[in-house]
Amino acid sequence: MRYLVIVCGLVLCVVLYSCSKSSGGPSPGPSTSEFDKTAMLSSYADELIIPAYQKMQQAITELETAAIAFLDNPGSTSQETVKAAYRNAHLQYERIEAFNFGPAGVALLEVNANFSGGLDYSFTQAGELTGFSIDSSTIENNISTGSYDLAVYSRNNFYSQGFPALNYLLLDPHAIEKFKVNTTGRVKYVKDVLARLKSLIDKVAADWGTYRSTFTGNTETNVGSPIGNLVNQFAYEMDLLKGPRIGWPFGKQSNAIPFPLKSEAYFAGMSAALAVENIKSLKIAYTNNGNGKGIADYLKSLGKAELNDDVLSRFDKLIASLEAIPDPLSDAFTSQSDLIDAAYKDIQQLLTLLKTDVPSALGVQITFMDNDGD
Amino acid sequence: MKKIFVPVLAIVVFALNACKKDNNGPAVEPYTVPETYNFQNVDYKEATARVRMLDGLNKYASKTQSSMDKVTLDQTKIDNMWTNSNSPFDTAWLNTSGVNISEKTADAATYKGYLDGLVAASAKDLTPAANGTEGYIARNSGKILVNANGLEFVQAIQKGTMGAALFKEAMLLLDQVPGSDNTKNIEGTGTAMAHNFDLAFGYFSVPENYDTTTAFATENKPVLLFWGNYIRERGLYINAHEILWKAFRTGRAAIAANDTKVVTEQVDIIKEYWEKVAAAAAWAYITSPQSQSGNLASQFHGLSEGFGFVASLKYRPSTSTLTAENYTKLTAILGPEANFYDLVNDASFTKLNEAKDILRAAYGQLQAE
Repeated sequence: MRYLVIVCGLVLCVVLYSCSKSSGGPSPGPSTSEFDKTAMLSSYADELIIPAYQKMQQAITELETAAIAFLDNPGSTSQETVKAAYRNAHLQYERIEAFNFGPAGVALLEVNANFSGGLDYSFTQAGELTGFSIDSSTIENNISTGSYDLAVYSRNNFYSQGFPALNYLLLDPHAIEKFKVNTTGRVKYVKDVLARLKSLIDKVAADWGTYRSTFTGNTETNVGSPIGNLVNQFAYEMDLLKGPRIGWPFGKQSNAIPFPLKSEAYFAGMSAALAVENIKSLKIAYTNNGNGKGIADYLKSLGKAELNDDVLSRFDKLIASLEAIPDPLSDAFTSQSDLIDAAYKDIQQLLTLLKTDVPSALGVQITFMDNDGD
Repeated sequence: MKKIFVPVLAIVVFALNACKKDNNGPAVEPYTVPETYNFQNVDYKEATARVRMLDGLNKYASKTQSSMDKVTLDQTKIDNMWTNSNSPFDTAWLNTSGVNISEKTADAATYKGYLDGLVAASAKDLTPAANGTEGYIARNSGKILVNANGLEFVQAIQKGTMGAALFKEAMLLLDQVPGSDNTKNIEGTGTAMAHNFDLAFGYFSVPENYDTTTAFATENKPVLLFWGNYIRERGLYINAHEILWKAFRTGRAAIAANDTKVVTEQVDIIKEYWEKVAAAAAWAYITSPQSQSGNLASQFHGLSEGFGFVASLKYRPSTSTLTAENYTKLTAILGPEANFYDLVNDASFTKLNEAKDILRAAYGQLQAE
C-alpha cells in the first residue's frame, strides 16, 4: 500500500470533503417566466375541468332517463334512444378522462367507469388481451345470483360495471331478448350500474368544489403537483391510445393477431369515434381550448414555441388519421389495417413528444407508470 | 467531483492534511484509497450471510405475489429461515454460517409479526382487499397482499428489516468504530476497528468492485441487494451512491493507515448519508402515490415501501437532524396505525405532504422536485 506509483495524469490529489464546496444538486426545472401559472390553473379548473364534469353529470342523467325508458319497455325504438344517450355519455367521458387525478383519483373513477386494463398487464397468461374487456360472465353471474358489490376493487368487478357493462347490457344485439329472462334481476343490475356510475361522477364533480383551491394554489411542477399531474395524464392518455385503445386490439403486441372484441365499448360500435374524441379532448386539454392559458402557452413562455408547434401539428395529423378510420373499429382492424397502421405511427410520434419532450421542457417527471422493480 | 473517479485513474493519492493544517496527533504516512474495497484482512461474511438470508426470506415471501395464484407459505420454513434452523436456505454456506437474522433484528416481534401475518394471509382464499379487510389487490401480472389498512406485508417485511436489521446493525457498528482498537491485528479479520467497519460495509451490500454507474435494474439484484440497490435507485439525487462508496473506501484506507481523524470523518459521512438514503427513499415513496391516482396497487405498494423506510429511520444515528418529535409525527402519518385508504382518499394528499415537509425540513431536498 505504500508503494505509490506517481504518474502524472494517473494520480490525483484528492481534496477531501472538508475542502470541497457543497454541491447544490442538480439544477431545478426551468425558471419561471412572466407566465401566470395561477391564472392558467384557475382557467383549467373553471373553464375546462369543472364544466366538463357538469356536462358529464348531465349526460349520465340523460342516459339514466333513456335507459329507464328502455328497461320499462325494451324494444328497438327505445334501444335507439338509449344508444344515442349512451354515445353522448361515453363521448363526454372521453372529454374528462385526462383529468384522472385529485377527486377522480379518490373516486377511482377511471377503473370503475371505463377500465382499460391498465398499461402494466396487457395480456393474461392464457394470451388473452385484457384491455377494454367486458366481463360478461361475471355480469351474468351477478345478475343471476343477485349478489354483488360493485365497490369491490378487483379487475372482474371493474369489467362488470361502468361503460363496459352498460354497452353490453343495453346495446348487445341480443340485449332486448336477454331482458326476457330474469327481467327483475337484469333491470336491477342495469340500474345499480347506472346509479354507481352516476354517484361516482357526482362525487368527483362535488369534490372539485373543495379540491379547486388545492389545484389552483400549487404552481409547482413536481411529482403530484397539478401541472405535474396534467402533463402525466397527457402522456398516460397517449399510452392508452397506443395500447388498449388502438395498438393492442389491432395486434401490435400479438404478432398482428387482432382482438376486435376488445375494442373500447365494443357493443356500442363506436370505438373509433371514442378514440377521435379522446385525442381531440386531449388537444383541448393541452391548449386549454386555445384560450391562451394552457400548458401549450406555458411551454411557449419557456421559449419552446417550436416544440409546441410540433406538438400541435402532430395532434392535428393524428386527429385526421383517426378520423379516417371508419366505425366499427373492430371491423376496421382487419378491413382497414393500412389506416390503423398509419394512425398508430402518428400516435407514436405524438406520444414521444408528450411523454418525453414536453415533460422535460416543463421540468415534469413522468411518474404514472408502476415500474418499481421491487 | 464524481467525474474524477473515472476508471482510468486507478490510483489516488490521499493528501489529507493538505486541507487542514492542525498538526495534533501522530503523523500519518501518505496512503492510497483504492478504487475497489480491496484491503488486507477484510472479513464481513457474517454480515453478508444475514443479507443473503433476508434475500432468501424475501424471495420466498414474494412468491405469494408473483401471480394471481394462491401460494401458501410454510410457517415452519419461515420460522426456520428467521432463526436459521434446520438448513432452511438454498445456499448451503448460509445454513452453516452460525448466524441468523433474528438475533440482529431490532423490534424483532414486529417484523416477525408481519411475516406471520403474510403466512396467514397466504393461506386464505383470495379475497379482494378493502378498507378494513385484508386481501389482495391486482398489480401488474400478479398481486399484492395487504392488511386491513392497505399495508403490503412483503414490503413491510422487506423494507422494515432493511432498517431494523441491516441499517440498525450498521449504525451500531459504525458508532463503535472510532473507539475500537486499531493496534491488535488479527490475521484474516483485521483489528477490531477494521472488523466493525468491514461488517458495516457488508450490511451495505455492494460488491467490492462496485461500479457507481451501474443503474438500478432488476438484473442487478443478485449483486446489489437492499441498500446497495437503494443508494442509487433512490439516492441518486443526493449522490449517495458516490458519496457512500467513496467514504467506505476512504474510511477503510484510513483505518489501515491509522489515520483516526479521517476514520471518524468518514464514519460520520456514512452515517449521515445512509440515513439520508432511507429518508430519500421514504420521500420518493410518499410522493409517487400522488401521481398514481386510481391505481391502488401502485399507491399502496409505494406507501408500504415508504412505511418501511420511515420505520428504518427509527434506528437513525444520534446525530440525526430528524428530531424525536418529528419522527413521531412521521410515524403517525405513515406508521403501523396509518390507514392507507384514508391517505389516498384525500385528493390533496394533505397528510402525505405533511410527511414530505417534515423530511425536507430535517434533511433538505432529497429528490428532484
